[in-house]
Amino acid sequence: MRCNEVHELIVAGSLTALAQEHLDACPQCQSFARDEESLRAGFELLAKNEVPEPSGGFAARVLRGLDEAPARMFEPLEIIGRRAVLAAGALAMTVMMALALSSSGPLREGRQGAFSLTRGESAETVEILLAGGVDENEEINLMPVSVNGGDSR
Amino acid sequence: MEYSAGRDAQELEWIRDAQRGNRDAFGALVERHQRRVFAVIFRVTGDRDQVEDLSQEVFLKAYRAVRSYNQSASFGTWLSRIAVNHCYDYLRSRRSTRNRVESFDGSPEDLESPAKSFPASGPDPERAALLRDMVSKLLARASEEDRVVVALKELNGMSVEEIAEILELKVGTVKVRLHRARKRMLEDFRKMQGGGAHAV
Repeated sequence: MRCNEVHELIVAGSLTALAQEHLDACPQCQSFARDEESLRAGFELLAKNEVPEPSGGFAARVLRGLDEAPARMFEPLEIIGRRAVLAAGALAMTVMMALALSSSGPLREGRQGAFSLTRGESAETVEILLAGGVDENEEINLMPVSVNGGDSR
Repeated sequence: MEYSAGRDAQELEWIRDAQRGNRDAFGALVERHQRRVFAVIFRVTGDRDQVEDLSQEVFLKAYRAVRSYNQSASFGTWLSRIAVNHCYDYLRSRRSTRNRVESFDGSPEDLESPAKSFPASGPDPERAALLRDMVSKLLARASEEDRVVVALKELNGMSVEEIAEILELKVGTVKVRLHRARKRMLEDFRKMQGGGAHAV
């Protein structure tokens, strides 16, 4: 029997006759067994440390603490509510922007072209990007191009 | 913990009342189970100063969740489960916020400090104190998972079956975890002693 196998049995606390035979003749395993015994004794000593007793009125303090509980219980609902308000606000802003840009906003028909690429240009841009043809350090100008001589007012 | 039929009936009534929001009934449950929760928290964290605060938090969690208690386990086991989970959170946060490791039931100890050896034999108080200190350090250094199973079994005196119920694991799984944890701690114990406790 090998030492490792005997160690397993020592930790498990279930030595077989064969393991005991090995243990009797093996100083390393005897040292291991003594350490296991010491560890076991250490646990027993630590277990003797007395558990602290609840101080007087502990249950009453717990009940007083429950007063905060209802507020906390609704915390998830509050978070959901807050998110819903933010989402609604963002949606409203998007709708307003869309309406402003489409017909009566400051950017009218002629200027819309400054932002948009034709289908061919768009495909070309995608191809360049996919091919890695743009240097990471190169600035890409995404500012709107003035249609009428650079004066956007 | 054994319950008589009358005790069970009384507890069930308190549980039902607590589930309807009756705080006095919940208070009675706190009174009945506070020592159990204190014991689990103290044994698992080893932090005497925090036991009361942590226990209070456990009962607050239990109150918020009491409607979900479905009697698949005893109320005490259910509470112990909440307590153990709370200990995991506490131990993880403590580990992440501290560079030093606390000894299991005492003052903070530097992990790098050399371990003291103890005399190989003799049940003298000095040896006992050193041994207790070393095992306390071992538990403090162990992973949370190892610490929980070992503390519940070796310090709190729970059976493997009880631990399995609390941790919602199979009995065999708990046995394996316990064996591995004990083995790791023994290896650590021998390292602390420079290869073998009795070689020093």
